[in-house]
Amino acid sequence: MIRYLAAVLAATALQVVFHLLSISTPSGVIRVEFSFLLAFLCAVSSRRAEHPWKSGFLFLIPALTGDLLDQRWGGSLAHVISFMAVRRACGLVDVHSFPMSVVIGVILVLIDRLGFGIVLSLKSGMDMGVALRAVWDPSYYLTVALFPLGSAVLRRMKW
Amino acid sequence: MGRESGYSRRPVARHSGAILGIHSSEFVLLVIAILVYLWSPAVPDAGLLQTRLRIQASILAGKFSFLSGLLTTRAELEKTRIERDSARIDLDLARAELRAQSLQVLENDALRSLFLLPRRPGYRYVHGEVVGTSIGHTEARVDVQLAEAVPAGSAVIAPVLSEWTAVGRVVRSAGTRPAIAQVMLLSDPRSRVGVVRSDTPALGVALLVGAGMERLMLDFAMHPQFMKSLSPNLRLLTSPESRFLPGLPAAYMVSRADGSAFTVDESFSPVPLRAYNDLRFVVVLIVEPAEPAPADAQRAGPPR
Repeated sequence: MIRYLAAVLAATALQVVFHLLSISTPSGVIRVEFSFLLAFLCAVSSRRAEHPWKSGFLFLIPALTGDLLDQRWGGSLAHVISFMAVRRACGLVDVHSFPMSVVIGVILVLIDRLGFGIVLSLKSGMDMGVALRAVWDPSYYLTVALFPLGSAVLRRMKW
Repeated sequence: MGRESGYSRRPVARHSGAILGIHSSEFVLLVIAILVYLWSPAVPDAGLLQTRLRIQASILAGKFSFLSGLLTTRAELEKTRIERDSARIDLDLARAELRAQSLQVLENDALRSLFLLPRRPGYRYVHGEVVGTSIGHTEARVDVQLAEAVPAGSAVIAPVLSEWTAVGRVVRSAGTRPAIAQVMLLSDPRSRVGVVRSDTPALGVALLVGAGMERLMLDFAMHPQFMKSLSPNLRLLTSPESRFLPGLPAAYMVSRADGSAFTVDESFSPVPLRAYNDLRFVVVLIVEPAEPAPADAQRAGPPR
């Protein structure tokens, strides 16, 4: 349990670090969306079945921290949705193989950002164009590029 | 799915049947995320928190120059973005205000024609550079180089960013492109401008009389109370009867605490809002002749 709490703390700290290392550009913030990467890794982890509760909260707490820093409270919900979507995809395709992890990642970005944009526009009363604009967030595509690497590390660690 | 399945080609395929159902942990995660989203706890000093974190991070990154450079670049980019966004908002607001004001001008014209009044005159601004000053006891004038000739009597304004202040009047203009205009400052002994008090315009008009150099005097107040209740830093605005735009600040009152005042009336004296010796650029306000309203032509009738 202590190791798990240490892992959650480390993940939260990494989320803060990646949040601080973000670069704002006119087309959006460029950074590694660590909680998104973590949601994918927690979903495809082979230990997911052994520790369903632990793997869920391992990405939710950093995601909530990121939302706290961003002051936009739809990201965690979108990450939970994409987490559940990857869980379903795990039974259908091999999410660890190289091209498939990227394809799954891109689909995941669409699900995540569309969900985020929809809940954001519902909350703020804006039009659904927000959802379409949220899909083009460059930082998520940057993060998807790290999916095969993270997946390989997971398999190497037998985790 | 066991630990040993990490090396298998399809590690999770065996559990595909069970995965389609929602596990209770997923349900709890979903409920937590939805509750947090619905609650949306607004942290009032989230910006402060970020700033503090960034300061801590920059202190930590002081040892790693590349990280520090990245953070600095990031902060600069963020600052530029915020500035650009606020400038864009300002521009949009100014445009909206301009649109509203042009609508008001149309409404004003319509109302004036309804009451058979002539239209409001239009105003035009010509920017000028001060090329010569002659500020003495017997006259206070400046020569201004302008892009075009301006009619004598036009008001001259000192364009300060915070507000525009009246400084004088064009008395002579010669040449065209560029033209030289002679401006009689408010402190010229021949200058008289009607002013009202900014706090109580209802007290009526007094005359702001030039006294040479950069001195001004107040005289011929319509209402006796005008001079009796003066206070320091009280502003004097050009009155609607003057040649300036009404409401332009022309001077402010200072207390003469050095004992040089003999009477109550002299315990305060007006002082120009701008030092005339430091004038570099001015703006000349030109009143464009108003087109006669259709009602005027109708009312005037045929010439006798």
